[in-house]
Amino acid sequence: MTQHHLRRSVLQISGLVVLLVMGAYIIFSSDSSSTRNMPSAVGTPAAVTADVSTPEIPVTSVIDATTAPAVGEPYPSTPAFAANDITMVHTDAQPVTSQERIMRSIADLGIPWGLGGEWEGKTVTIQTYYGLVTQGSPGRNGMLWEGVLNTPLPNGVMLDHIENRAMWIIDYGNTQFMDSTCPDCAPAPVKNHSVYLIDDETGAVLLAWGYAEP
Amino acid sequence: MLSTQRSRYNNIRVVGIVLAIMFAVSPALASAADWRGRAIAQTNYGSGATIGTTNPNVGASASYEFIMSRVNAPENKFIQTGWIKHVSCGSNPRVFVENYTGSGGYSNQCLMQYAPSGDNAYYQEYDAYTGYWCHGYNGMCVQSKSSSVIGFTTSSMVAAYGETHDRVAQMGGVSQALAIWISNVSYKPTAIASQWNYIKSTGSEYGTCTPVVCPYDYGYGTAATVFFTFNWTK
Repeated sequence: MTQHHLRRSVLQISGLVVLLVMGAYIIFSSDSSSTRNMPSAVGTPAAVTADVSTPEIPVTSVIDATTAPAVGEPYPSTPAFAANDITMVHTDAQPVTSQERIMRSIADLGIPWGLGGEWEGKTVTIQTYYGLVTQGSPGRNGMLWEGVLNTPLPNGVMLDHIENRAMWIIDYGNTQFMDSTCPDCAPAPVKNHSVYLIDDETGAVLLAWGYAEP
Repeated sequence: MLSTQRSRYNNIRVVGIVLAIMFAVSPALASAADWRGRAIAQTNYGSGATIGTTNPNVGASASYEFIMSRVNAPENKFIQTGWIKHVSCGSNPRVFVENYTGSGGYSNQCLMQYAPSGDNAYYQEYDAYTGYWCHGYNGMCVQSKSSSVIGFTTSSMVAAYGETHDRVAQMGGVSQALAIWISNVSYKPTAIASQWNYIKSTGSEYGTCTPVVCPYDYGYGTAATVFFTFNWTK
């Protein structure tokens, strides 16, 4: 009987351990979006002028004031810009919408890293850009604009295309943007940056895209 | 008494082994891409469909519904328009446009101002006059790309389907009765005129949903000779 009791206890404990591991696996693999914490600041101070009144919102930028181009000149391209055919021109005009409000707009859409924090155990990095944005390029011989077209804004205006318009770009690293894929196609790379284009005048989030940083 | 205890031990052992096996293989099963839908061999300069919308539970993964024009030779390339549900694009589905150029990789965007609900018309079409492909949503071109970027002008296949990359995500509707429908499937037969023909063939299965037990299902048929398909999570 003693041996039987021992065997039974061992089997019961083993079963419990397996169930616990299974439970933990299901919890942590099914919804990592619950792991949002308030962020710590990452990177250098913002060169862009941003009205950030809430201390928990990180103010970051890869555009350093000392290396910014002259007003009216384009910023150097970045992987975030290149991934969506973006050019941004330096402007000395002040943003209408604060960086804080822009990031809250992103979070309000249900994007879990909108305010930074952590995503799947990693600290979200944030790079912020503000300037005059052009997405795409003029069509050949006066033809259709090549790029995003007919974007509705909350104020009722329809943006025929995006050209030299005051916008924010926020690049969140250590996140995830999903490619679709197809049978017999190369596996989609893991895009660990999610990037958002936000209209300054209306605060509307217009586009989301991603890129892979090795 | 002894045999009852032995039976209990055996039951516990069996449950433990089954759980251990499930735990061991579930990550491999969960990480595969699944597609449910149909592919129709049809020369075209674009394709379109009416696609329904749900708000599937996806966890940290994604769920999509698409209409696609694709070429298979000399390498796989495609252009497609539909919707995505993934946290990077918010808590509701967004219009998603994508093209794949084989060696050039994937290019895609969520159009955040377009949050579909109900039935909407999605398409992509090539126009020889402009030399561009357009991704269309409810009759409007929402993104244009040069055919030199897309990598083809004539496509050999139209596909209509749902897709997930992880089986924690629901695909389509939550039951057969609430399936996502992709209907009015059509193609553009010429590069110049804005003329669209309905697809009347039901084609063949697109992609796979293996191994073991596929959690998704789909159906297809014709209504007044026009092809349709629908998909759901079992």
